[in-house]
Amino acid sequence: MNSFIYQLEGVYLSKNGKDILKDINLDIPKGDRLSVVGPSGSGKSSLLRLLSTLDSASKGRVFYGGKDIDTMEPIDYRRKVRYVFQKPYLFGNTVRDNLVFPYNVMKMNPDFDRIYYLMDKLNVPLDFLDKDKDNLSGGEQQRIALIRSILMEPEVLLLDEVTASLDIVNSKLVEEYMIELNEEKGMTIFLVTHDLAQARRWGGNTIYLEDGRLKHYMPTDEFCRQYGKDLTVFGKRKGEDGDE
Amino acid sequence: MNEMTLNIYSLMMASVLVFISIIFSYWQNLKLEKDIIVGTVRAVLQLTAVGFLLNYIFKLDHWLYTTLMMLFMIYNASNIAAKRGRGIQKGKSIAFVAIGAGAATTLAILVLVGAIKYIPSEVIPVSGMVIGNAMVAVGLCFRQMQQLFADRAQEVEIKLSLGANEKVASMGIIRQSIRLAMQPTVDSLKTLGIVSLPGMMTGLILAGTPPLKAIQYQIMVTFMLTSTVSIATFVAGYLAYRRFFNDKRQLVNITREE
Ligand SMILES: Nc1ncnc2c1ncn2[C@@H]1O[C@H](COP(=O)(O)OP(=O)(O)OP(=O)(O)O)[C@@H](O)[C@H]1O
Ligand SMILES: [Mg+2]
Repeated sequence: MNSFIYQLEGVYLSKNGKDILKDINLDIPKGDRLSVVGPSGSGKSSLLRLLSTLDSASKGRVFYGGKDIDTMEPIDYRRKVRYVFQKPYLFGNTVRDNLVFPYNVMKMNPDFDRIYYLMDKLNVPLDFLDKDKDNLSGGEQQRIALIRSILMEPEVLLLDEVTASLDIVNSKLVEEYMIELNEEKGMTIFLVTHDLAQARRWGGNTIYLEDGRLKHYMPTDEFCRQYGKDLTVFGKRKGEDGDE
Repeated sequence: MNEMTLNIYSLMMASVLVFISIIFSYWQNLKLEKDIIVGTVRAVLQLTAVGFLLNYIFKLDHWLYTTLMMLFMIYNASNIAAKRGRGIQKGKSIAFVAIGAGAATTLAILVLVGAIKYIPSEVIPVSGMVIGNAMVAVGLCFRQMQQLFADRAQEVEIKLSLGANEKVASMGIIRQSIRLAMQPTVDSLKTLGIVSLPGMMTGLILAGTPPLKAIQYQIMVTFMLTSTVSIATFVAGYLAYRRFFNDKRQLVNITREE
């Protein structure tokens, strides 16, 4: 077996004739906790889309547990690797429609104990289950989208700025539970963030992208020590500082 | 049919009506004059050619030529329907199968229950109506699908990434496209006779058929149009959604690739 969960070899991603990811080479150990940072438009979401097989590399190869991702059945792969989109989006009418969906596609009966457990864990009131999705705040939608993706306990979780519309209390709550999943279940988790303080709390390793290229891959504390002063690496907009 | 007052002479006089729209277009600067002239000439030529062709096929009165004529009509209809969904790969073939399935089922039922006979003078006009309506509905279905796959791309991708297959991920879009494509037919059911006297009935009445008899025909036509349109849009919807995905079960952006 292979101790790397992902190996990327000279990966390019192009869309409409433009190279969005360029020559990415990366070995990621199983169970790693990663923060993905870089200026806006540097390709963070694109990297996650690629790893979630919503897009395919135009050049180069991606291996998952030693297997070429292109040779795997996408449905089986996506059941192990879950991607939480940057823009939260709920479908159907109610929260319930969203939370039973992952069970329905696998022709399983919904496990409401688990649904309630995760709602509780992520601070979503249990009586929200039958709430109309349009009557939820952005932060509530984001947490429900997150629950929807972790119900099945994936091997890999790809989180694209999932705490962007959360207050600091809920944001920390989410981070802590994600760290728990990583440490206790060995889930490999990617967290895209624009927040230096969050990256510090998250720890693990940092993938730093710039203009579609992988510029750094190193332990997060070292990355923050070396580059944390330079606010542009986190793609900060003016007046939007870390919270320390 | 012998009481008809229409003859070649009065038909030529009626072409004055076309000049009204040309003058109107010129006066209002609509720039439609050329289109109107070309369209009118085409319509006259096409109809004349079809008139001769039908005359010939009616005389032959052979099931093989009748069937070939129908296939030809379905072929033309699917080309036009596919234009509504430019960018949907194999749109023409999908439309052909969909319109063909709708028309064939409906005609088979009509012939089996004895409502019409499989002779050119009955089958061809009836297929013309059926195919024309199926064409419009399939075209609408294609256009709806393209629009919805563009608007709801994120929903589809979220469902894919939650482990759904293409069909499950597209289900909402397929159903809504079929529904919207059938809507005009269903709406016209409700207004039939109140707002519109449909073309067939009008034609029969002008040609001297008593209104009560004409209505019987029209009721049959209404039934058959409804069934054809539902079969054709259903087949089109369930065949076309696959074209929005590649073999890696990824949503492909066909509106951008045009
Ligand atoms: N479908 C597409 N067609 C063309 N260009 C695209 C497409 N999708 C993304 N891009 C471009 O690719 C680049 C990387 O986009 P991406 O969304 O990965 O950035 P990001 O690092 O996630 O940015 P942000 O921090 O703002 O979310 C951007 O320049 C973007 O405009
Ligand atoms: Mg992004």
